Amino acid sequence: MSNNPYVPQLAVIEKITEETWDTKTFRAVFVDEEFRNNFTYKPGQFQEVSVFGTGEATFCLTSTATRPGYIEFSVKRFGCVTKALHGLSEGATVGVRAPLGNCFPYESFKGKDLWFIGGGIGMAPLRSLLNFCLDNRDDYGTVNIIYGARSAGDLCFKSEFDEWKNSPNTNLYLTIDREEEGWTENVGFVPSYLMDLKPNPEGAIAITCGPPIMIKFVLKNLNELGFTDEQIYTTLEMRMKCGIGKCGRCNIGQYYVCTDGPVFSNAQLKGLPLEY
Amino acid sequence: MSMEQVLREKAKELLSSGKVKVVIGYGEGSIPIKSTPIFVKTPEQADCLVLNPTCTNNLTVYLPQAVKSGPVAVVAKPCEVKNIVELVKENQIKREDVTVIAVSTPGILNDAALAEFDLLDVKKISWKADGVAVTTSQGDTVIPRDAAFQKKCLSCTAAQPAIADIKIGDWAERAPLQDKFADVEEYEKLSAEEKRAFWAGQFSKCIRCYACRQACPGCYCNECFVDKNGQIWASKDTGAESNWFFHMTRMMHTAGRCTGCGECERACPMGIPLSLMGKKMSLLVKELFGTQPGESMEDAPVFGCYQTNDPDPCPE
Amino acid sequence: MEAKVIAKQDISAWLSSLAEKMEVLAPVEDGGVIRYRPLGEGEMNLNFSGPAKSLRDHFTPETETLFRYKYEGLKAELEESPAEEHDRLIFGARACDAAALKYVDAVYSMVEPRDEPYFARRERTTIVGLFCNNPAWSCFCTEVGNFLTNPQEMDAGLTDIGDKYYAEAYTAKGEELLSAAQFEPAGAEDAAAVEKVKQKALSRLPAKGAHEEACLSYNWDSPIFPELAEKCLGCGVCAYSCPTCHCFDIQECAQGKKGSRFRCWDTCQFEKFTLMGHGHNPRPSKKERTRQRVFHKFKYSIERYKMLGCVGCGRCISACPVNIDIHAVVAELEKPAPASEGVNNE
Repeated sequence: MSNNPYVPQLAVIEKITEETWDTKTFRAVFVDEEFRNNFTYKPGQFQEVSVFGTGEATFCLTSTATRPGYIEFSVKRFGCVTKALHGLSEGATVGVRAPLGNCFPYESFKGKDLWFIGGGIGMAPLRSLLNFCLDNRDDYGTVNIIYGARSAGDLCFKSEFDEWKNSPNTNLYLTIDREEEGWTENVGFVPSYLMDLKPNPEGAIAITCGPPIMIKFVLKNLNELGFTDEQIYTTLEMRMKCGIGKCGRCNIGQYYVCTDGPVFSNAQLKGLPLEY
Repeated sequence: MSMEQVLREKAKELLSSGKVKVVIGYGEGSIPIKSTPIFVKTPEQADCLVLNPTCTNNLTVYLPQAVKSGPVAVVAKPCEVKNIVELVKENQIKREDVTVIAVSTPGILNDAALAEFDLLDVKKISWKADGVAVTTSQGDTVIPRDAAFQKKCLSCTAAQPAIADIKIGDWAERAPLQDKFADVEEYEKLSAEEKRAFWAGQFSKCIRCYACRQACPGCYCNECFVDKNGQIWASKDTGAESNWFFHMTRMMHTAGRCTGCGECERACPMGIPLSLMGKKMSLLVKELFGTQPGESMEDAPVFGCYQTNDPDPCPE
Repeated sequence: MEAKVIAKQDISAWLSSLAEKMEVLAPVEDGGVIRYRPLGEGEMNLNFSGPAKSLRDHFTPETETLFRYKYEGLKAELEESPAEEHDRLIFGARACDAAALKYVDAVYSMVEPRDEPYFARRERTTIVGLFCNNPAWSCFCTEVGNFLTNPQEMDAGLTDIGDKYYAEAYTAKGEELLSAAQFEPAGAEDAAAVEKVKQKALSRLPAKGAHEEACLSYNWDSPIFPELAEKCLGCGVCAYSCPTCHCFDIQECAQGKKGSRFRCWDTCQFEKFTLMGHGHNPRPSKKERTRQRVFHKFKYSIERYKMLGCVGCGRCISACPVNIDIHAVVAELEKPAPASEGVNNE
């Protein structure tokens, strides 16, 4: 392949998992063997996926490089490219430009207790770091996952809940917004469940992603619980096109979310102009 | 009192009585050869209003947005009053929300008339009986009317406006110095092939900045067809086919509504003669439907209403 | 290399000889505006203040196909667009436009991978500048740099001194150009004529100003932005005529089972620029968008690239249909202001 950075690699859809009524997880394998064998990425990075004829859109790499040979992306259907992706079958070819962006500073998380706080499809970027940490279990302290959605049907990655629960020293706290028949776990919004669980900020890191309103209250509550801004990480979403800091679209102040992010600590976020 | 002084007095009255929240008019530009749109909100600010040959903007482009915050007064030249008429008929603004300050001026300066001047040395531009006076450190130079004014002003008859709450200036009807459609008639002499080649050449310059669309008071759609991306109607590339499609479609959308204000052409950074297209459409509408936009509050918008006797010329 | 001169009547011959080896683009007048066209297409016009467009489209064309694709069943095949293969010379570039390339180079290369299609063209293009004798009313290059006396990114630069041009080379490519037969060594009176011309040009420009430090404390909540928002038409002319603007969109053109992906110019002044799929727009009104333009050029660029994102060409001022003057906005912002609440202080 050339050095034109806007030309994607070809990848074939190997497996499609229907997570919810509007979300699917796609597993894709690069066509070029050499590229596939040498491909690696870090948790938190993202990719630009193309459906030729419709366009290209940004998705986090929800898989982890500790499980090589394939990449995964989770797609909530609400626009042109996502709708086109949902229309694909296994065996279809897509384009992928990856890996893009920065990553979670997982080296600095070693030895710490981790609190993953996700809402809805926001769990997708967190899952990359979560599975990475579980694959390197001894490097990290207690792993706690607070994951909520509007309803049980809106929870993604259900097939992995048992794996997460059964991982050593790992707790999975699920919650949904309203009572539902058959639901035995917590009922309530993620930010309030967080307050109920009262995580101990000492030696802990919190990583959150979800709908903007959820993130807003989670950040506030984490500060209230004693987490400093340097202990809190999130991954921002912005409209992107090139993904490599050239087209100018995703800037917040002097930073480009696609190259200086999408992972930011809360301390970094507080230094950004209020435009995201 | 000069027109400018009358305007300021009227603006002060409108603002202090609370009849309007804002008077949209012209203010001094960053340099004497320019004026700029201003939004006057207090009687004291009314002294910033100016009226001189540089007052070229069509301020009616701001109306649909401005009336959302309350009643508005707007300074409008004869061609621009027509835009207000159409905006009211198209339900974009309510008649009672706009106070029309209809201003009849001798004409508005054509930028090319200043070509021989050192623009940094121009101190003032004003109307004189026979044209426009340009004052520099060397004194006054008067540019005669037919060289000074924009084409649209040369064909203006200053006919009575269809609506006006306040009238400023000499509204005596006058004979036009040029026929409004003179350039369209010249263009009509070209063969079909020559016309195609002419526009192909012009559109090859288009950079799709959409300045023409943004400057046009008729282009007020919340989402322009070219911006729709749920379903792509028009490609954003600047290739020949795409540029033709954008301009032709915009002309179809503004047909019967274009008042010939020329803002599209003035805004275009590439010198494309856009108002020629608009006027060609206007002439067609006049020939087919016998109406011109903005001349009457009673005429239904020509493509907004279907009449059973609408002409429907079908090639045999 | 010592300075040279070339008689005005010899310019055509010189350019024609160059056109045998590479594409030569020169300024021509078309519909009242100046554009750079291949030599021979239109009559060359070297007496202008400002070309309508910057040099941008020669390095990042308004529309550029990135690759073509075609489907056969479920399999797709891609065909990349060939890299730029031909050499070009741009004659008559303005000093501000050439200097702007330094900024765009930084934007397109600061983060790997660099923008290869752009650099392929950069590396194959020679730039011969033409210094301004008569800056336009809207020019303010002296406030943001000193390109007339310290040119950037030009291979050679010419100054009009009456019946000839004074020529200087700044790179090896430039030296090679000026060794053509039409050039002769310049004399002392030629150098004196240049000095006079430069002084006259500088007298028409604002006094030097250093914005770098003042801009870093711009007031996020300055009342100037709601004011600009009221009159700005959101038309994009400022960005599209700007030599440092580099933003683009990437779009698809589908024709059944085949098609292409292209990139085209875009601007933060358009409403949909930052509109996200689920409806949130971080810059929902012209207040945010006009602020973005000014802050990007004068503040974020210093913070990120250590250089101003504006070369003072003045096109945005002269082209703006509503007479928004960015350098007056900047002067207003540099006045002392109350403490800003623009950062996220929750």
